Amino acid sequence: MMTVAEHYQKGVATILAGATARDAADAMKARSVGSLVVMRDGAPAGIVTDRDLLERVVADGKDAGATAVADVMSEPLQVASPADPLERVVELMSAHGIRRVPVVANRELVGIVALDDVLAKVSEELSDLAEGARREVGGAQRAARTRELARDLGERLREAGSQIEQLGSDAKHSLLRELDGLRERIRSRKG
Amino acid sequence: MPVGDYCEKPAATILGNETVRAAARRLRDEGLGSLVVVSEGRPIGIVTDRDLVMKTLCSRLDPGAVRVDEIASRPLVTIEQDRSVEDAVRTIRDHAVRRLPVVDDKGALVGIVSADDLLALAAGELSGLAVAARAQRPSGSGCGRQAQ
Repeated sequence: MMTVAEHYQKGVATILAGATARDAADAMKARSVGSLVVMRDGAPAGIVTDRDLLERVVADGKDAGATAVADVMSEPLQVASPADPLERVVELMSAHGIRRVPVVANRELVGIVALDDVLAKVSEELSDLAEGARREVGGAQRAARTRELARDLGERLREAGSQIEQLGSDAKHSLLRELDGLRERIRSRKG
Repeated sequence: MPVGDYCEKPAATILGNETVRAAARRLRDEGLGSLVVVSEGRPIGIVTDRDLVMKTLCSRLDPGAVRVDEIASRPLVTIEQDRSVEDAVRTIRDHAVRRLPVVDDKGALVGIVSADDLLALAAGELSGLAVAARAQRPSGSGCGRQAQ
């Protein structure tokens, strides 16, 4: 079973709940990120994204220098623990329409799982499966194993296809690159 | 397939003289991620949700006072509608853009194609490959078993 422990990034961009929306924009720009985990009393309390700033500050006509991050962040925060199955996190993302889930151990923020990273992992597996299936082709004595691999591959592709529809554009973009690479590899090995 | 047959039509647009705040409201209310900025009937740039935030708040500008054409990404990378989808993929990759406005031979806006749309195509192709691979596969063992 794949767990969160192997798939989270350890550096997380954070901001204090009392900082302003303008501070948040500055921090996102400086760190080239689209979201910040909002910290209150040493624990993660919410998450604020560039889209939140657009919808709740810029569109609303609020003064960014006088609006607290706590007033525009998304809460309650969905979090995962390092021991959680990765599947559970993907379900959380899908159920709440989110792409990043902070990882908390003993009430302390230790990292974040990004959908992009999970997708990269799925693509890697797809690639392994495709490679496995290719190697097995023609080995008659191992045909059963080949069929199994091909079935797995087909199922995973179908799953990936249906999941793609629900993903955010960043994640899709990343998956596009992964799939493209995979397609190239499959093609080059055919020749 | 020509990209003009595949792109989303029409593309969401905004006039260059509207404010960043007006653009932000459009994106929020219509659930959009970007708007093509149009001036005198021609696409001249594009603004994304992130642009609207970063290019005003980080520069201490008032979103209610800044015009969209002041912060739009220019020059706009576009593709002609009769070019192929593969050309669109290449253009998106070469220019590191996520959204590509599609224009006619006179430069008028026809629609827009995104990396997301092209991903759906790529995924479809991959599934096709998987089906093809399966059909070609266990010829040896399959025939052998049938013969027994």
